[in-house]
Amino acid sequence: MNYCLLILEMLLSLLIVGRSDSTGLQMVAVSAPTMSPAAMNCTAFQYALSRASAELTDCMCRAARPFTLCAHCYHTRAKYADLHQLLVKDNGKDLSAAPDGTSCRKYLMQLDSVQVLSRTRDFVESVWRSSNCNNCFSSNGGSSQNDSLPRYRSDLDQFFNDTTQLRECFANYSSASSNQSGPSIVCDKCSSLYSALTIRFDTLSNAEHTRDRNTHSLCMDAVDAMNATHRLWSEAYQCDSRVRSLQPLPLIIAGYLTAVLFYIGARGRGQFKQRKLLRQKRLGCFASSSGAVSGSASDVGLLN
Amino acid sequence: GTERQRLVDNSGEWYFESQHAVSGEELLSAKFESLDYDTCENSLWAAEDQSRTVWDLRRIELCRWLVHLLIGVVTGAIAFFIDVCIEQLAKVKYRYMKSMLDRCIFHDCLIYALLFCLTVFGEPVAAGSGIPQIKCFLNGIQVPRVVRLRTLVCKVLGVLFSVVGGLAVGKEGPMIHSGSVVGAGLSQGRAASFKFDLGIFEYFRTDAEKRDFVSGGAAAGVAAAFGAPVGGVLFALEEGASFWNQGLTWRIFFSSMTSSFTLAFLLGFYRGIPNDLSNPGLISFGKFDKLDYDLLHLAIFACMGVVGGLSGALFNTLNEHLTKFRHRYVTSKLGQLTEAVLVASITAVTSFVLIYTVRSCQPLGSDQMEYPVQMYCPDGKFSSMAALLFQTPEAAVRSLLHDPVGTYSVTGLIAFCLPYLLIATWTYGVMVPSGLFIPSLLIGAAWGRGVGIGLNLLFPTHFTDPGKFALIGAAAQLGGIVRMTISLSVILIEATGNVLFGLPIMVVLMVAKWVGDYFGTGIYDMHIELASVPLLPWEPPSRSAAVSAQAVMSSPVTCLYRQERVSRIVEVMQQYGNSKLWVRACIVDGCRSPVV
Repeated sequence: MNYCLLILEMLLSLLIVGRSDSTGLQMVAVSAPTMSPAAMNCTAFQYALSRASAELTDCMCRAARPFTLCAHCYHTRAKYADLHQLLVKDNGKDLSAAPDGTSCRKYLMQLDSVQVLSRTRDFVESVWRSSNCNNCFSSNGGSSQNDSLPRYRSDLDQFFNDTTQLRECFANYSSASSNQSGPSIVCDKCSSLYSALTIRFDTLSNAEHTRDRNTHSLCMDAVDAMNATHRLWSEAYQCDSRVRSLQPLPLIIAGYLTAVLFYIGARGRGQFKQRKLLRQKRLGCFASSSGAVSGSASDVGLLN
Repeated sequence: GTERQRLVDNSGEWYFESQHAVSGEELLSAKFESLDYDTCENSLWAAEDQSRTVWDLRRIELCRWLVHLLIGVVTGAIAFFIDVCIEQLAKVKYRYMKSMLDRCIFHDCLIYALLFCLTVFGEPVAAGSGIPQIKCFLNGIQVPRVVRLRTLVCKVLGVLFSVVGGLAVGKEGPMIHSGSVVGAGLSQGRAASFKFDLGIFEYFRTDAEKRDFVSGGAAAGVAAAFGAPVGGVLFALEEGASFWNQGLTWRIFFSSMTSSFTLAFLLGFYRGIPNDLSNPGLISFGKFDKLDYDLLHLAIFACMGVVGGLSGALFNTLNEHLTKFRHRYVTSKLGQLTEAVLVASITAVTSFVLIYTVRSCQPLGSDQMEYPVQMYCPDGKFSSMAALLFQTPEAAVRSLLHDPVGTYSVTGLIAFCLPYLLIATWTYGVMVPSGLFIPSLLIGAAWGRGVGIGLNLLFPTHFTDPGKFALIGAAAQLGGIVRMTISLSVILIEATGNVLFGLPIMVVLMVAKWVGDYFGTGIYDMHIELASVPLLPWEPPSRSAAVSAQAVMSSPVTCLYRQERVSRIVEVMQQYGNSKLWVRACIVDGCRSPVV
């Protein structure tokens, strides 16, 4: 009993220390692999899992706006995922039996219909999947625990560098133009950076464009950064330069006029096609059917 | 005399003396012959019938099933071909156009973007949707060249280019016609256009058998077009219902199921997932999450049905006047060609004008367009008018049905609806193969979604899904225009995939039909009338029970005696045509008289 409480305390203290730094410095080791070979207590494990999921939810909510979830919560999620894997793969060796004697996995996951632990896992995974976080990092991006944040893929990395540069440009020139009105210096000085950034982003997102058009699988961190940049550019600094030109107007008018003239011309030519009609024979009515010219040229293909 | 005159006055439906019917639209055309469904039961035929063994009959029955299977497979394959070609060509077109538009906003070369109008049109001989022709054929009128192989080729190529060229057309009506041609061709084992004769299926070379196979082909065409096998069977039933029997129903159903399956199989293969049978038809309305409704919804749907009926009647009236004008004045081949080019150009110009004028910008990603067009929207957003006009009409309908709330605005949709309705009514009847289903679905989906958005704004908790109203609007508009009953309901139910939503669809179609019928007939019937086809309707004209044959028959009566010289009979037949339409036998004083 004392041994169990000791372990519990150790775990809790470790987790609390890790939790205090909320901007992403995750120095907490994943508990399971470094635990002693002796099996972890099931209740203790349950608390560990709960702490991990609370931490992860906290991280996700903090990183929700501006959206940096993939980077900031990478390690937290990895820790939670590892713990959960331990539970799912439990065959009695790593986790000791539950208080009522059944295996830990059965006790935690199969004995009630609400299934809180499974639902938590589903929630976490669905957020992760919707953010396309698996597309953000290179294959070994997050493996080193000593880094504060995992490393993005190289192309995404460049994109973020460019974004930072652009924001710096905004910061530099916006203070200078605050006493000016209209399209400001910001638009002039930063437009080349902005164009380069949009081109880079378009390349990135086209590369992710899969055959099934319904999936957008670019890393959400990047997408959100680009959206924020767009908003700054169009709404905050009003740098949009799309003005409607009147150049196509003559051609449009000419087009409509041609159609009208065509029909007037067709009517004017008055080429009236007669058809081979089924006329009844009536006594004394042959010659007097007004205007009827029967049996003339072949029929036009009429059923359209 | 006076008696005849009184008759004309009382029941205006009998056009004996029409002073103004110079073009003859109210009279019947003499060029149509009827098909010959009676077997000529002479001694030769009796001898042949006796000589058939049981095994022969079994073999014939097996051949029937085999032919229906082939019809289904070939129709599905044709539908696949059309779909793939359109998809590829459209992709090329839109990619190019999008790059031009993007570039030209800044470099002032919009004028070139406007001129780029991929209008290649098919042969005028296979024009229109083909449904009126098939309807006539299935009811006994011999429409010349309607089921020739050459017609099929023209139809398929023509519809390909019409759709890709951006005309306001769909590919369903032509698909039905193509299926019918396949049915006729395969069952006869020969092709008159190319003068080859396989020598098989000789038993089926009668008009009656051919008609049965054409019904199967039409059903297969509907099944391939809409993914609605049962709808296909009901279409054949509704349009050609005069000649029906149980064995035929089962074989036709087999054809249509095979067609739908073949198309789904080939499309799954093409999209890289073999055995993925999730695309049973050319039109797909996508997956609906929830289609629930209550009585209040039903009441609103009925009102939408009224609107659909009214706008359908408007569409049909405009088209009727246009068609009459075309029959009279636009008759040379060059004129028809020019008209087709004009229609395509004006469609493109109007699309451009709409995208240019309507300011409606949505964030990227809310619509699943392949080539979103930014036009004059700020960065990161795209024009939602382009979402309607810069895709094939089917994709636009899917957008309207499934996009989340907020993608479109009411003003944008109304601004889209009216011009597109005018363009669609102008396009139908031009000498290109053109279907009418998709344009009317698109028009209806647009105003239906407008209604849904409006309701959502007023009562956000109760009306959450404007897509549902878009679907009902589409059904209402289509019902108002074509006025088909059971087959259309089943087609829409199968396309939606939700049987319980069948009740609103049925209610809407009924209301639209009743409202529309008050003003005129459906568009296919109207075209048949305008072509002066002597199609016998279901019922005699109303209040005609008092009209006697003596009042309508020709006089003097041409008489043949009981024993007559062959030359006299031949002479009479040649004079009055082979048409069996108007022969009425009356035994009066030993005289059997054909009445023309």
